[in-house]
Amino acid sequence: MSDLLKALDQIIFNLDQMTDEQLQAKFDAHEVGVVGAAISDMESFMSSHESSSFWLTNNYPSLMLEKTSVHFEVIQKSIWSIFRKETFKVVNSDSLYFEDAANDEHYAVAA
Amino acid sequence: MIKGAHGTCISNYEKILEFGFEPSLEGHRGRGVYFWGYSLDELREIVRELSIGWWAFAKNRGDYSKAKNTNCGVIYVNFGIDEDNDYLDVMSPKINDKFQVYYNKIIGRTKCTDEELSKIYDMFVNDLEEALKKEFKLIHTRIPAPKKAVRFAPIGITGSPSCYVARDASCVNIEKGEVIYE
Repeated sequence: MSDLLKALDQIIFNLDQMTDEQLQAKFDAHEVGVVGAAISDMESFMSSHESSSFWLTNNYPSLMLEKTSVHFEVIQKSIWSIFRKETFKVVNSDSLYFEDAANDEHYAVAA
Repeated sequence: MIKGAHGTCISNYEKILEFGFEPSLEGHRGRGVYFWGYSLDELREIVRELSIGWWAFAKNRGDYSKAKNTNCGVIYVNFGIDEDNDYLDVMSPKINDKFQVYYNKIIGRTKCTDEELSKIYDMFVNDLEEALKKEFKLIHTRIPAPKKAVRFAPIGITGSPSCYVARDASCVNIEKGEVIYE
C-alpha cells in the first residue's frame, strides 16, 4: 500500500508540473473510458421513436441520410422540444446520448 | 471470495455464457466489464435486484434496441485474482482521497465535458499502472443503484453499492446464469 500511495503522490506531483496545455493534451489523448451511454446510433434511436422520426425527417430531411449536415444544437433542441425534457444530448454525428425517460434523469450522469 | 453479478439482455447473456465477457472501452468508471459486488451469499438477492435494475435502466436507455431477445439475464461470477497484485480498491479511504485530488486537478485545468468525467477514472488507473509497471485486473469502486433497485440496498446506511470493474476478463469465472422474464 505504501508503494501505491507514494506512486499516487508522484502522479499528482507530475500533474502539478504540467502546463494547462500539456494537461489538456494528456486528457485529450486518453480516448477510452468515456461514457458512451446510449450506444444507440441515430437510426436505431429514430426507429424506436417513430413519430419523432417522422417529425425530424420532415424538418431535417438530411438528418437520416447524411447525419452531419444539421448543427447538433438544433437537433438537440428539437429533441428537447419533442420530449419536453432537456436530458437528451447529442454526442457526435453517429450517436445520441440520452437518458432513461422513466424517472432516471439523474442516474446516468451520477453513475 | 470476491463475487459479482451482471445484468444484461438475454441475447447478450447467451453470448457471454458461450464466449465469455468482453471488456467495454467505455463505462462510468472507465473501461472494463461491470459487476455489482458481493462476498456473502446472503447478499446475492441484493445484487440480483441491482442487476435487474441495471438491465431495466439500460433497456429504457435503448442499449438493447438491436437485440433479438431483450428479456433480462443475470450472470453470477467470482474473480480469480491475486488481491495483492491484481486488485485496486479505489474506494479505500487513502486511495480515494488521492483520487479526489487527482480528479479536482484535472477538472479544474481542462475542458472536460460531462460525458468525459468517467475518463478521469480510467486515466487515474492507467497512470497508476504506468507508475507501478503493472496492470490491475480488477478495480473496486461504487456506483449509485439504479432507481428500480434502490429499495433493495440499504444505501442510506452503507452508501452506494459496490461495483467491480474487470479490466481483464480472464479473471472472471462464470458460476451460473439466471433467466428473468418480464
